[in-house]
Amino acid sequence: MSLLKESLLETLLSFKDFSRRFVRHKFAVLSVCIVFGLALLAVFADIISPYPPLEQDLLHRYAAPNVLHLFGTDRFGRDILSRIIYGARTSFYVGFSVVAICLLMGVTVGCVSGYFGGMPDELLMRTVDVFLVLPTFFLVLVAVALFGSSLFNVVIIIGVTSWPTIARLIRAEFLSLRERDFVKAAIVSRASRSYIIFREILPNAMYSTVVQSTLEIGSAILTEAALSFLGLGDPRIVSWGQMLNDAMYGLGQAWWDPLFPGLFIGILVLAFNVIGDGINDALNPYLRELK
Amino acid sequence: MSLTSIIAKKAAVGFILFIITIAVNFTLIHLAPGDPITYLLAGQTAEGFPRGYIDEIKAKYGLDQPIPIQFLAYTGQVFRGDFGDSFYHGKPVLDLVLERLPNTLILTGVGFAISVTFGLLLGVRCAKKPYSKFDNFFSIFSLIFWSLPFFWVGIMFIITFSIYYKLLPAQGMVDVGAQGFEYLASYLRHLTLPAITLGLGGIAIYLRLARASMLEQLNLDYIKTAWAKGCSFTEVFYGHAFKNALLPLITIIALRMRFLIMGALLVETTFAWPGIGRLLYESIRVRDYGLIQCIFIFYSIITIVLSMAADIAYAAVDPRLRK
Amino acid sequence: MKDPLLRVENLQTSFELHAGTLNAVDGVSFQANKGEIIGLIGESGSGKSVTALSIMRLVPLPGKILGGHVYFEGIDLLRNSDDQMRKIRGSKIAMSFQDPMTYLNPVMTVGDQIAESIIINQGLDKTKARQRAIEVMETVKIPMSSERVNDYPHQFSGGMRQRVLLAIAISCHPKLLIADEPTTALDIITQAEIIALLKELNTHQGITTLIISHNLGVIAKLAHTVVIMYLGMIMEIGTVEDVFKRSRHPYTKGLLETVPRLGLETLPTIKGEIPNPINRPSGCPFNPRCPYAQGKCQATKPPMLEIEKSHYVACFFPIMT
Repeated sequence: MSLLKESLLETLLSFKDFSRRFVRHKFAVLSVCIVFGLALLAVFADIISPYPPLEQDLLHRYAAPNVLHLFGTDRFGRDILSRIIYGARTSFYVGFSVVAICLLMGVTVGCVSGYFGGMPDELLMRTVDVFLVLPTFFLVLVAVALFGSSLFNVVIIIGVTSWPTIARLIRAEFLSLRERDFVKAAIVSRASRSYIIFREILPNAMYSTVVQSTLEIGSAILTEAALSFLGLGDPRIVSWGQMLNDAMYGLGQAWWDPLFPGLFIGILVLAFNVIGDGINDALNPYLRELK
Repeated sequence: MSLTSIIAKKAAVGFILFIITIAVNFTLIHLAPGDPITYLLAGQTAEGFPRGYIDEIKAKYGLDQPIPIQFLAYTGQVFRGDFGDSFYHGKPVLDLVLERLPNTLILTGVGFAISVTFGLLLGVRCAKKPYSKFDNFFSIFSLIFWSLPFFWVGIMFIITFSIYYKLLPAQGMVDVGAQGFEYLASYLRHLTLPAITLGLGGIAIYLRLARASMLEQLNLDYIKTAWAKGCSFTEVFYGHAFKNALLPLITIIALRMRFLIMGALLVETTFAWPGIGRLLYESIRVRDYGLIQCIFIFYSIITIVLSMAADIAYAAVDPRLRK
Repeated sequence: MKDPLLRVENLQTSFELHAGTLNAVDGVSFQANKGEIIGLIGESGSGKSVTALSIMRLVPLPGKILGGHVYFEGIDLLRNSDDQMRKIRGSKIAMSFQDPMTYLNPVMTVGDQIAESIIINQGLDKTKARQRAIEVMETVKIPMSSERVNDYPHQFSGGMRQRVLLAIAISCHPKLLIADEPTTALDIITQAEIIALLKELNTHQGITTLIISHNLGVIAKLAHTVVIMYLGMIMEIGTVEDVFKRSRHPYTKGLLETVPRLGLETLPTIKGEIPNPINRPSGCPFNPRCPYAQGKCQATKPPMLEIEKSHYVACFFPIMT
């Protein structure tokens, strides 16, 4: 366990250097603020939200944005702004949970595959290949249709279908790093296997994994939105995708109904993507030379 | 390794993947909570039906047999095209699917053509003068469209172009009662928005990829040799870098096929385009499992075929893999 | 003495890097007469490749040629327009490169790549160009050229690929051939073959050649005139006899002593390490490592002096024994 701690420490120290490069990107910093802002909304939803998200007001259905309802109301008279704020919770929950699952499964599989090679590698990589060709979205659809659409299920299913990309990445990093001299030096000096994995290889593989993870968060949010849009999301909670599904019923009557949920999905995903880009650029300082 | 042997190999792999898909489908049905009978009867419990009927169904679907036999029987059914009847529509499932399949194929094909053509061409053009106004504009453009949920973009298109500006039809495939030439014109008008929506997401991705690939190639050594020969910029750019840049993209396009299919499903739902995606959407809502399974199998076939086709195309174009 | 074919005068090329300014070529002057083979020797970081690229005006960004002259057939190449340079490249001055695998287009046949130069520079049509390409492949001794013309680079061995690069370079009968490390990526036997080929191209076709290498043996076998470079500046110029047998510059002497010989117990080295080219030592660049350095060496850059007929040295205290 102390090995893990040590490698984390080393990573944190080079983090200072990295953050210096990162803050040079104005858009990346802006995106971090956006994510942070939306996260605050999500956490403090109960306090900030003007109305309870499920409260209906049938007298004021499809009200255009006005002083009482800044984003207008939907077909049941529910305040859209409040629903957006609560929807942020769902998005963050889905984004981070899915990435957590992906990392857990992906890193483990990638490590095993990349380090040990041979039979386990072959087996695992064939599995990954199958995943990459199959129409996984439909797997998700069918699975949700069969197993039920609670948010928990949705997260698990999306996570299970997304880990292959991370696994592949880690494995590729492992394969290339394994041949590098500093690893060979460690092997020659009789370092134990876990030492090599945790202190030499993993920290180096971490950076591109982090980049991929931020992209994965965006992807997970979009997938959940798509599922909810199709009516397969959890009906008990508020999600931006679900709001879009609702908007289909009165399509054309209220432009604000679909506008805001989709816009916010886009903004949040965009923010994560830009952050991912920013991290990527900060990791490759030499590419900037040529500008 | 000649091209024919590569095609044979890919076909074999595709076939195996198909079997795996069937297996996955089969596993899901049996893993799901509840009795498969419940699913065949679309969520209704067995009690409401006369006893004999249940036994008939059990025998027909071989549900009293051990699992491996059931699997073989199921596989046999799939290959025979026997997917049973849809309880909701009252027709054989296969007929329903085949009716709508062409619409999906056309929509997907056009959407794919739009994304690949515009994406690749724009991406290459961006790489010509990196960080220029043209490049920056399209880089931001693609980043934004990559992040937005494109079915939402579709909804916004409907609101803008169909409802406010009344330019293009909102949903459906053709106007009722149109014949001959009118039919074609109406079909195309209805196809416009869905196809563009589907293509837009792809453009974003392929643009970035093409740009990155071109820039990567331009930094490689053989480009220096081309310059040293006295090649002009056009000759270096299009004569040398272009082909090398596009090759790895074919593989990526193959991998992205499944997203294209998923996109088609969402677009069909948004625009009420009568393809198998829309059919799937409807059948999920009413829990018509016979139909769901069949569509899933068809989507798998499409994805596998497209991926293998892209792999074969790559092998055909890259001389390093052939000789 | 007739006018030299190539006369480089005080060439200066530098790179603006994040870490600082790298003066890769800092006041380099030498010349090549028609029919000569010039050997440019230097360790990594000496600026020899950048010199070659500067002559071709192919210095990659963030590099820039800052000053000096490169007279080719009397005309200063550095004053040429891009279009004029493009016409010269491949037809009058040609270049071959070090690692033949990465310097050949992997998806184009070898024949097409050679023919491309011919089509661009001589305006022949495709069929004639292809015919010519086969002839050129024969000249560089690629066996079965009429069949192999349709093969791809990955189907050739390293030595053969180097010949392809040379074929591309000489296909249009250039006046000047610049060969950047033509033997470095090859095994010893293939090296000997390429050396023989280069010699033949020079004697039989009269191609003036500028060979760049860090391999003293290769230069010794090929060159008429030798130029020794260190950290972007020239240390010594002379005939191959003068430089190898009567080296005057301490750096040259040190270099020659590092060549392993039978009977030596320890491998001699030049004391110290090559300094970071961004932070060059003041005065003579070699002074921190020079066993003969004195105060003057640190203060001023030694000028290039003709110490004997056609033998030049940039040193305040050349070795005169």
